[in-house]
Amino acid sequence: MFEPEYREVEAEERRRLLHSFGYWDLVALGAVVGVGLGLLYGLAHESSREAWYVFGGMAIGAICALIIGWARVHSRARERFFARWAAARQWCYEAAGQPFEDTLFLQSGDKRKASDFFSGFWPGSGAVLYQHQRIEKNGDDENVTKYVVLHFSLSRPLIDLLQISPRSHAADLGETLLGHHGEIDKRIELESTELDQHFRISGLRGREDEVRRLLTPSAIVRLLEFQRAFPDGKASFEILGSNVAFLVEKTLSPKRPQLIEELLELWRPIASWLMEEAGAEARPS
Amino acid sequence: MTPLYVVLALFAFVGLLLALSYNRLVRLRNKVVEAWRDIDVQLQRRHDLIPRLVEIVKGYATHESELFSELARLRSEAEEASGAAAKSEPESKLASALGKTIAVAESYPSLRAASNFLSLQKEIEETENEVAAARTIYNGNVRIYNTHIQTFPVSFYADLLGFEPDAFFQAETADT
Repeated sequence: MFEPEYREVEAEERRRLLHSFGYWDLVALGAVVGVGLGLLYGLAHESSREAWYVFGGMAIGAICALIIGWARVHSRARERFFARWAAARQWCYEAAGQPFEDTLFLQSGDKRKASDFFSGFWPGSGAVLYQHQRIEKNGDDENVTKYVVLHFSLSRPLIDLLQISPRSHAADLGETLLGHHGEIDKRIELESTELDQHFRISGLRGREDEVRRLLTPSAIVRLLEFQRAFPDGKASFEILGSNVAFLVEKTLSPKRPQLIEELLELWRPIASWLMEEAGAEARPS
Repeated sequence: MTPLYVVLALFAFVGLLLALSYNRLVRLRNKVVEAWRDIDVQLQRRHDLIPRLVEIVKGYATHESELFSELARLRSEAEEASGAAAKSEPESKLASALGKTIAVAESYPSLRAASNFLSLQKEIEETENEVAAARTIYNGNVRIYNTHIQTFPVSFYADLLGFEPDAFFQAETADT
């Protein structure tokens, strides 16, 4: 398996940029626009230092163009690296797309954005792993929380609603869920003290038995193993009918793509168990 | 009057702390009991599978009667024992005998290919996985409960309130 190196991809992109006429055209264009703006500024202020304004405008225009090009290098290198990294594993990669919004966690927040979609056949069938951003507005400020999400659909609805959220974060996620305030029982306690310490289990009111039937001892142990592997990962799991989302509060970075494999390694047994419970293979999302 | 109020308030505060601590102790102990019930259910499932396994294997491996009677003896020993400490050893022995029986059964090609044996083997494997998981949960609960009652300040009054350390369940699972 050919393993791409992010540094190499980034250096390649930088070389490509420096050798492209388009880039230097852009820098020249920036300089020309800067000259024009500098001249206009000098005339407007009837200054005797017009030459300095022209020169300053040219420098600023050229530097802006250089910076824009440099920033573009990073985003292109990121996309190219992830595409190659995914291809080496026979996965697909899409840099942009619409976020999934078919579970309550994924619907939460004032706005949502998504990027870096990886798709493969990890839990036995089609599934998508991507970067999900939940944006909450607080006056003029925006509070962005980034999650790595594994999303897939089961062949049949497994349970109306099951949410497993980190205890510390259950409040801010759970309370903002739309239209389900009265219906959700957030205090389902299972037999494991450790599970209760780390997670809050929620289901629809009066459906506790369904949750207990689904969360067998081996399922609980798998959840605890995940928690031990990512103690600060603020992991959440949600099943809404046949839609399943696993979330962890992390950021995907081309500098550490191993995170994706580590997460899949831990999520795979839980996903496989859900698919077995659903009784058939999952269909692609 | 003021010092009296202070003393009363202090008593009330200490009483409240004790009540909260007592409730926590009860909750932790109940979790241990609940987790033990889970183990019991899984062990019962294991015990119920043994006669079915013997019945299937008997038809092919006729001269393994010693192994079958050993399995039956260990099963009744395990069923008679109660509580985590007492059950650990007989359940370990039973699991080992169960693993041995499966290994013997697998040495008969016709039995290994029989569909009823295969489905039973899968059921046994699932049960053993659930026993192992239930044991992990139970031991985790016992560890948290024991640590809580053995640490300051709860260690001062846990014993007086009738909270004693629980035993871990150390039985092995069958090698399927």
